[in-house]
Amino acid sequence: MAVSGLTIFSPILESDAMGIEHASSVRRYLATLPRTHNSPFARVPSTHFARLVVMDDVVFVGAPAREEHLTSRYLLFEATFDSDLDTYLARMAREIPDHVDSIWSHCVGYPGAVDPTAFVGYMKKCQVEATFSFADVSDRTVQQNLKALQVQSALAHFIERNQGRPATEIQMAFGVLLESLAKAPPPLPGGIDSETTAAENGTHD
Amino acid sequence: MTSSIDGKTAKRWPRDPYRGLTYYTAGDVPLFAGRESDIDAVCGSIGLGNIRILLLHGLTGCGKSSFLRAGLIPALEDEIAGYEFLRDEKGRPDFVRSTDDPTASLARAIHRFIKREYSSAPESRRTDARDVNGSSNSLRYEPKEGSATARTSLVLDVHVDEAEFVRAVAVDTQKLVRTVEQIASQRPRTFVLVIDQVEEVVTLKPDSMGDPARIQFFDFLADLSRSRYDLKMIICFRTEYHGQFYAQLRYGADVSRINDYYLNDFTEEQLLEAILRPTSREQVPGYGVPYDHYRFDYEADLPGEIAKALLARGLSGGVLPALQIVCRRWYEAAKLKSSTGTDEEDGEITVPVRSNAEYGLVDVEFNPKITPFTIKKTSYTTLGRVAGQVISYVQSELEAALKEPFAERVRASGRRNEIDGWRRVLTSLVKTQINGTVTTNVIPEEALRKEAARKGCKIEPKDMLLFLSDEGRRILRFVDVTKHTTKEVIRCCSLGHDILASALQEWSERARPESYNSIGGTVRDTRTASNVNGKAYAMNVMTPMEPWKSPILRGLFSVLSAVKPLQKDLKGLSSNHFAQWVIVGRDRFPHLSPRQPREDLRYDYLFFFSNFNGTWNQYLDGFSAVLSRGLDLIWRWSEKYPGSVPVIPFKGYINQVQFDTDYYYNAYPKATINDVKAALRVHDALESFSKSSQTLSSAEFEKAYLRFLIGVLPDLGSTGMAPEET
Amino acid sequence: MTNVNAADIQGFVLRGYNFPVARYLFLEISQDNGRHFVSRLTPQITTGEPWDKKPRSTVNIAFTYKGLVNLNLPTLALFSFPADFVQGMKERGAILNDTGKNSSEHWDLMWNEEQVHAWLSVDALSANELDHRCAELQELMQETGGAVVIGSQDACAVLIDGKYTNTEHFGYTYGFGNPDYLGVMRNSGPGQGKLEYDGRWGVLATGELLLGYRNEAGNLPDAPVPKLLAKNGTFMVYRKLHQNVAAFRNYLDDQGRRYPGGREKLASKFVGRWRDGTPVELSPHHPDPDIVADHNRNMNFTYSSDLNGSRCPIGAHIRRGNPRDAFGFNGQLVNRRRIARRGVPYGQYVPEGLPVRDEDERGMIFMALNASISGQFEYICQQWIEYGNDARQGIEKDLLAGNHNGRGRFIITGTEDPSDPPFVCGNIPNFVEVRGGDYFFVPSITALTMIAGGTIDPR
Repeated sequence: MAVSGLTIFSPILESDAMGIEHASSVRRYLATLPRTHNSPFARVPSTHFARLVVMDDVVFVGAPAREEHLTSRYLLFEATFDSDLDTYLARMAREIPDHVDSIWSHCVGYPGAVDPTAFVGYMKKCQVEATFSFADVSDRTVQQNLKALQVQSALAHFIERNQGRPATEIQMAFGVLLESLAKAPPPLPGGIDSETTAAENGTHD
Repeated sequence: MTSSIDGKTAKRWPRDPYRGLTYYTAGDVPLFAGRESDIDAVCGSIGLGNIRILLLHGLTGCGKSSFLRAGLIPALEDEIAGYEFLRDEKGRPDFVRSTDDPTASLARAIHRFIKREYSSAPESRRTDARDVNGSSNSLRYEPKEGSATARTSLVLDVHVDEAEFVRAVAVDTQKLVRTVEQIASQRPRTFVLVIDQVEEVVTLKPDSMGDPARIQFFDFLADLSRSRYDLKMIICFRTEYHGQFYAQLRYGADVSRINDYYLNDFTEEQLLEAILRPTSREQVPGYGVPYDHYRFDYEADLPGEIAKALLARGLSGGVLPALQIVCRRWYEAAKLKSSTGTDEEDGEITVPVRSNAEYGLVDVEFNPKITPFTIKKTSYTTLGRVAGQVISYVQSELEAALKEPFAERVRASGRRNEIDGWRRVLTSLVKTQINGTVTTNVIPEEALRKEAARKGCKIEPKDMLLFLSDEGRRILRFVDVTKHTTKEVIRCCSLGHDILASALQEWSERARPESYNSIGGTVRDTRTASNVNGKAYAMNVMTPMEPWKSPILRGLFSVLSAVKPLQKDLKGLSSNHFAQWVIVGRDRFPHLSPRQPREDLRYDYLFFFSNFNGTWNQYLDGFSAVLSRGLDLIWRWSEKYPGSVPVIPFKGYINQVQFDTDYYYNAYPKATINDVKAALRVHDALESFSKSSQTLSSAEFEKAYLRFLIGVLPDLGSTGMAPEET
Repeated sequence: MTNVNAADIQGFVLRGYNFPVARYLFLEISQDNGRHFVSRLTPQITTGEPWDKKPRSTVNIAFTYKGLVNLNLPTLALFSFPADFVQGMKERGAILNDTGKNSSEHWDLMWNEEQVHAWLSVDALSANELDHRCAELQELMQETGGAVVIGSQDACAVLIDGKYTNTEHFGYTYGFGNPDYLGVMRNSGPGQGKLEYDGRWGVLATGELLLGYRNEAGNLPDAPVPKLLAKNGTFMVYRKLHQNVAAFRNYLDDQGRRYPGGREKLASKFVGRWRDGTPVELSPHHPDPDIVADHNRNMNFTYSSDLNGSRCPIGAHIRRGNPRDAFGFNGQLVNRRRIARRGVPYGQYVPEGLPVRDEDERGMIFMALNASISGQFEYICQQWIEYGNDARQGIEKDLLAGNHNGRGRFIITGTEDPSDPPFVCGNIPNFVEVRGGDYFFVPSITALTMIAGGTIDPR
């Protein structure tokens, strides 16, 4: 399986005065992070999906279940990515060390991203193995998916444009299409469709 | 009931075998158990001829006052005899509460005592009367008719007016010493003064080190310690202040005349004695056999369990009051059951709430009307263990208030709020000390009333405070505090007992909304944008599982025949990109440093993370419609999972157990999983077509292209924005 | 289960009347006398009881949330209505994609300026009858002072060659595909309900149509309290859909010229039925009047053997509106999304070949009945008409009804048969524009009596 998942619980540091500061700092930082192609995770292109949650406590579902509480807060990092865990985590440390530091420096025992091996070791200590994972598409990388979406879009346009034309013309145009697809730069993760850019630029129709 | 000294009639059993929160009094002597050895030791200590002052101290809530009233004093007066105490207006042995000016308190008490027992000559001073010191300001006091112990007249330099007397004592504490000595010399038995809660001289004015009242008191004690008269003084206070006291006492007093005794908190054996006393088959001298009166037993080793549970609780407010509350509740519940003849296996047990009037004493000694009954273990577990019993005691008293007498003041729908408001008012009296012990504050009554108004309580604060301070209830106490600067006396309130303080604190913890609802308890009321990125939605769910169920779930996940249909259906439903189920064992939350406190959990937690397309409602409708069997197989091990069909309770449960994402990244936000799968099919089809079409002639290409189109067209829907959430 | 109590349910909820002419009066209800008006009206309301003889006209009534407010329902009862009904269609425009040309600023005046409180519907056998009945109702309104007409809408079945037909303005035959519900007796044939596991057709749970009964999700649908107010009632979506007949005919001509199968075939692909009503799934190459006439066949088909849309395109209108088993799982994902429809055309019909203008008033009064507006009608509109993900069609919209704004794609998968080729239609204009409407509560007769009598106790 090319695609893997990770679930990492990093205990958040208790603050000196009230136990809130570190958790709030992380939350604030996460709220400001960009979320599309400018996201730091876009620079770790093997990331399919990633999420970060500041977990304050466990849930109480109501009597007769018993009520209990966590003594620490945890930063939960859950992601789906290509290749294996060690490679992915090392890549995070190499590609986005500043962001990684800004986030995980609020956690207990964080060694810093400056040494990727130490970072990987730290994250693995906080990792919990998934009991069961489901991937609808388990054998394609992010690049492959993005490329396929690019192809799908291009082909649809091509077919519509060339509808009704004589076969020879189509054949030639088809060759051109294939060439351009092969040469096309890989699409950026985090945002693909032209409509997105239109919306973001405020040029909605 | 009343001491035999006064010659009143036979002794009576208290109506209830357990006292509740109020202090033991002399009437509870037959029930006061567990302190026999302490009583012996203290009596011995006092009995030593040269001992003038006994410092009796113990930790908060060890039961000093009860020990005095129901243990030591009756023992000294009745059993040993030869001692007598200051008496109150009802003729009961009394002790003085220190307040922040114990000398003044003592002076007042002495003055009243004199007034009760003696009458002064109506004429003005008789110049021939001289007091011990030869002072010519003395008055002659004649014993009153009917005075129990006054035999001869006294000549005292005591003003007729109490306030003046107090003022005079303040100027010269010697005056008080002489007066006490005078009284002692005229009494047939050894006169004992008891002053309680002396720590108040420190606690009520914590900032004033050079406080005159404090200095005076220690002067008084120093003088008293040197007295040659046959009198004793017992000073009770909390052990935390022992060091301070002793240090200050040493300076002036004759320490060879001072003893101290540390009253420890109940041991398990002592607790057992206290629990079992009402069921004892042994004679209590002067009273009879407790069992004959109360007619109940405990099931086998239940008392042992109770004792252990009480001690394990680590009640900073003292264990005896907790015992009183909880045992009384079980006793009443069991008694009710037996008298109404209800079946043992009943589920609901309610403790009857009794108003103050019923806590009186009965005249019958032996009650054959009560059918013997047993307090069973099942009652113990059903009613809830010790933890929380005190809370529910306070709660039930508040609820009783709302039923009667304050029923008309609050609507039924507002009762919960009202109770919560009063809880918070009472909690303002809780003081947490630096060492972690929880005790009571003393707050002016006026301030407490304002607090009640601020909390929105509907019942008139004045009335409720009276209700709560009632003798039979003792949740609150009134105490008068003198403002030292202005000498004005302010009526203050404190909690009736320190054990209430710790109970209230815990109750407040439980009631606080924020810390408990930050994730799981909150109902999701707004769609937070942070859960969504493009057309994908990040759902996080966590559910508690009993640890013994986790291996079952793990096992299920590893069984292909269980897992394959689930995977197939998930792919068929085609609403998830990726999903993970993660079981975090209760001891598996990462622990990375010795400074990080360890988790202490009872449950394992099953986490579920999914990246899905469509609206929240749509997603769960889909699960409920076609995946219910697989889902139920996974989540049935989680606490309170209602099943995925019907859908409304299922959505309610997910609402409860879902928690929001702070940051969500999606590599292909404009593509649903359907789009991705379609694109991959298109890509693969194009690849194979392009390979095979390289060498085709025009006509062949036309045919091949046609076939290719038919193959890919179903998968060429555009990718882009999704509709708004419903 | 026994049949529902048809006498307690307003007639058109259980089946369409099939009367040729109708007038929908929109009323403003008086707070003072509204109840009196309702109490006088209630005996006249046509119920679902079967007719021995067709009445000359029928009367039915439904209320918006604001109407119920003016009828002085208790506050707690009002609060208990589902949010979709309370907000109303205009406010929920974003869900329905009522943007651009469909946005409420283009709607008929009465929906923007006045408060529409009630929908009073009169169906009749003839125009005379219609006028006569409406006049009587007007008198009643004046007499009681309970309501005032603030707008009205006439609707009329299309007359072709002097006969009333079931054709709508684009030329398609409508009226197929109303679901069968448990306990509701009507003339129907196989294919209208839901698929059972053994492949036979069963009936939908009653609670998909009527409040107070179990629905397909195993619950009682979200309903107001008290129970009697809700039971046997339902919610109606009323939507005036203007049809741009000229644009449609032009588009059909234009695309039809390029489509090797021809214009009529293309028209059949758009909808999934030939214009005469023949299901494309059963007969993809030509219309078949025999099938149309046969109740046992004209609804009786599934898509499971046509998952790639070779016969009936995946995005065809009726396939979007009722995907049957196209999503797998034996249709279970679809069963709770069905609606009953009672549409009637309005405006002058212009036969093909004659000039027609888009500006003229013509279109379809779309009325749908369902127990849950958000779970059924809104879901279909938002997810299946204005979007295509469930059908694996990306973001493509329904060709006929979608709010395209000139974009979008309609894909015909086709076969290798040259008369039935793969084909893509693009640059789709808006053929349908929304011109007004709202959500209405259709009370049972019992509920009407309670409303009129002011005897609602929500506890």
